[in-house]
Amino acid sequence: MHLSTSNSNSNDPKGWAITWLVVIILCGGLLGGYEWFLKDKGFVASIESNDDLWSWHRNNVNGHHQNLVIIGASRSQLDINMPYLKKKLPNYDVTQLSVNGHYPMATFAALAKDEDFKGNLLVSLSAQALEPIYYDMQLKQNDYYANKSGLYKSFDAYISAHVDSYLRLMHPLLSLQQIVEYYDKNKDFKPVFYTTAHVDQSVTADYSLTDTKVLYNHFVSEKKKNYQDVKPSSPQEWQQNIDLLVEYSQAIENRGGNVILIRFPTFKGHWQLDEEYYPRGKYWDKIAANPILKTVHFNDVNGFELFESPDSSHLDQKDSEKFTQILFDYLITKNYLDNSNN
Amino acid sequence: MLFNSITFLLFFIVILAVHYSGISWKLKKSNLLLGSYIFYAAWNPPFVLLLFLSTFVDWNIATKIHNAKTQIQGKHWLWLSLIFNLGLLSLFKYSGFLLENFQSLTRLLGWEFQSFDPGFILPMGISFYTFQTLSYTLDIYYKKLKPHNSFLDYALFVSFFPQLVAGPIVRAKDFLPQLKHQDRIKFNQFSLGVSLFIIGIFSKTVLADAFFAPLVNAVFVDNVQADKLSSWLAALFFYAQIFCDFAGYSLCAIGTALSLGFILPFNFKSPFAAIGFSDFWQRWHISLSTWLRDYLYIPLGGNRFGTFNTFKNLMITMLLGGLWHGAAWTFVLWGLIHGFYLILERWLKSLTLSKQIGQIAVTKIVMMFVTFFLVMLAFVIFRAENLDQAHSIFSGMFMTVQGQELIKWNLWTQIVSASFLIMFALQWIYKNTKITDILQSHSIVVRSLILSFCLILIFISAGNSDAFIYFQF
Repeated sequence: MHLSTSNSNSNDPKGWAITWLVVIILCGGLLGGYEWFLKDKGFVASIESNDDLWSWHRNNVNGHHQNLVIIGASRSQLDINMPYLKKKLPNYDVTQLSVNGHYPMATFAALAKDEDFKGNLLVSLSAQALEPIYYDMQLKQNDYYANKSGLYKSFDAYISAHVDSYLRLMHPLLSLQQIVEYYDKNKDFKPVFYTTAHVDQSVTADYSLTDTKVLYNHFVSEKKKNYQDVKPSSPQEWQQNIDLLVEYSQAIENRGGNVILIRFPTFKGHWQLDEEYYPRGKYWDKIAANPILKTVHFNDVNGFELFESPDSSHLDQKDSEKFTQILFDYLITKNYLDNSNN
Repeated sequence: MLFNSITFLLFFIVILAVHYSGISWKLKKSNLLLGSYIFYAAWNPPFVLLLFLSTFVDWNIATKIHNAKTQIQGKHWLWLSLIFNLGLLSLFKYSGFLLENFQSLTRLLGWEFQSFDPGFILPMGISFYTFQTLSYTLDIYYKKLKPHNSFLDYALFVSFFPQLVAGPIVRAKDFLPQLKHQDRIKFNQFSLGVSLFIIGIFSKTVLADAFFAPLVNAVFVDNVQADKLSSWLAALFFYAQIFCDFAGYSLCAIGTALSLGFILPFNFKSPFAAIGFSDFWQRWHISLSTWLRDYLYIPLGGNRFGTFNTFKNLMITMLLGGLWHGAAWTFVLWGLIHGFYLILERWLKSLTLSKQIGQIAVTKIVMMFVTFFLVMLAFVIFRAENLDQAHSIFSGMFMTVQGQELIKWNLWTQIVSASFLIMFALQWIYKNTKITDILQSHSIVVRSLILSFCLILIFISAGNSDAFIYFQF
């Protein structure tokens, strides 16, 4: 049988040493040059969130009361400034489990069922998120965590995300295929992305890098189409949805945990649509009226009226720190969150 | 643990650091064994026990076979080894498939049998290490090998992490002698190992995952009929994808082992340039085809008992070879087709006319394209989720059907197609040259350019990296 080096016995250590030196210089130079080119164009390193990274963070939500877990969709990812929050609440283990474009009821249910979870849970909720059709949106992540994730895969996703968070050339939207296909269509290099995903699963947005008018119109028209396609529940069904919130919240609070339901802000045309299809008085206030549930509606918090959202639904990164400060000051003032240790 | 993961790089740095330290050879081998179990446990820790059980049982049975006083006694022990190994394989890999098909059969006969999902998780690489341990007991039974005197060495032979989960399938007679004493690892050997690893990762992450897989996956979808161009490109690119994926893994395994001072057999040798199907199987998954030849085809009688028996033995070997790849009728059919190809080739070779024209250069080139084409068609069945999907791809390729343009002929597809053609040409040019010789024979400049090109593309391609295709087998 031929073995892999059966006739490769020539000893050429000097030749190989030079080879590696040339490889290091060539790769260092070209990759470094490409990284510099991307930096010069204004690109920022970003990571790609996946089920393994989500599982890594989910796995870190352990049994103690000082966990602070944030679940929701893109609003809780973009509006909450994680570095600031960790500084503000140093005695809490803050974990971001929000998933872009996916309402969080499946994660809420899973945490309610998890006897080990006794921490604080912030649920970013809009009235529409309670529609049964959207319950399973985060089921994939929770199923993966329960049945397929493992220490190796999660750990690898976590350290890979760390590496990606430093290198622009590893940007998930800058693969060779994407660059070539974009060039083929537009005869230009890809434009700078306005969102950046972080290892902690939060996202920041710099709206100065994009056409906010186009984005605003896109968000509002998509929301309108969505509301037209999926009609709101009848009042009877809505009560069942609230019962589910109560069941999950009680399950966690009976173990010593704490659940806060937060309606994050939407703006202008988006908020008008929210009010048209899910008027606050008929929907959110029914949730808020339940004595068991702790709720916060953005319209009730002083200071939120100062913010503006470029796309009607999310905050710019320059506003997220102030927003986080006002929100958590409010939660502490209302005694929804214990800050005595901080 | 995946070779194309940062965790593996960290793991391998630790393994290398200990291996190159001044500790004793026995401790170095213990480090490799422990590392191999950690490598395997990364997927599913309890399955390390299964790996150890397989190792322990075959080690003891091999000794019993060797010490058997009579041939009958030895045969009994061999049967025990076969039942244990193939039983484990059947239980974990084929039980669901067998139950499902038993249910279909009983329904056909008018009986009522409700199948159930046995719920077994397939232990990673079980097909590979089972064949490896079986080869040990079979070699001892056939008196080609004497039992090894060190359990540590034997355990390392079975579980050596570079080739544990997807081959190459190593023979004890090739690997165990390398564990007897420590050879000083030369810098060029280490460098060659690292180079093979880099080229293997390039083959997997750039060519298989970033170039070919997205285009293949766009066409192999249920209930969508692809147009002619998409169907042809998907068939061509899947052959390229599975080659780059599996040959890439093998190169990583060979390179990793080489940088630790161990030599593993080559598993691929320019299969696109094969002239005929027996030539193809001497170039594709060589460690499996030689295993099947030595432990199945030849014991069945090989070509020693007339034409009919030769054809029958070829067909049985290829059918079981197909089934080895997975518990699905598409794999059985793939094996059946290759069995048919080999029989057809033997028959054609026996004709006077083919002997006369077989040596002409033009005939060889035509035969290479014919071989490539027929192997590619068989791989469509291999890739398809079911026979309906395979039928849909074949319809798109050969019939006039209304299909969707699932692969657009844009700049990216042109680049991927050019890569495919370059790979094809390189395999033809270097059809009898090993990659180690290519790397060593070229100048420092060319060698540096090859490795730099691979590394740069690994960084900037960043495709969706999937697990190696052959892990599932």
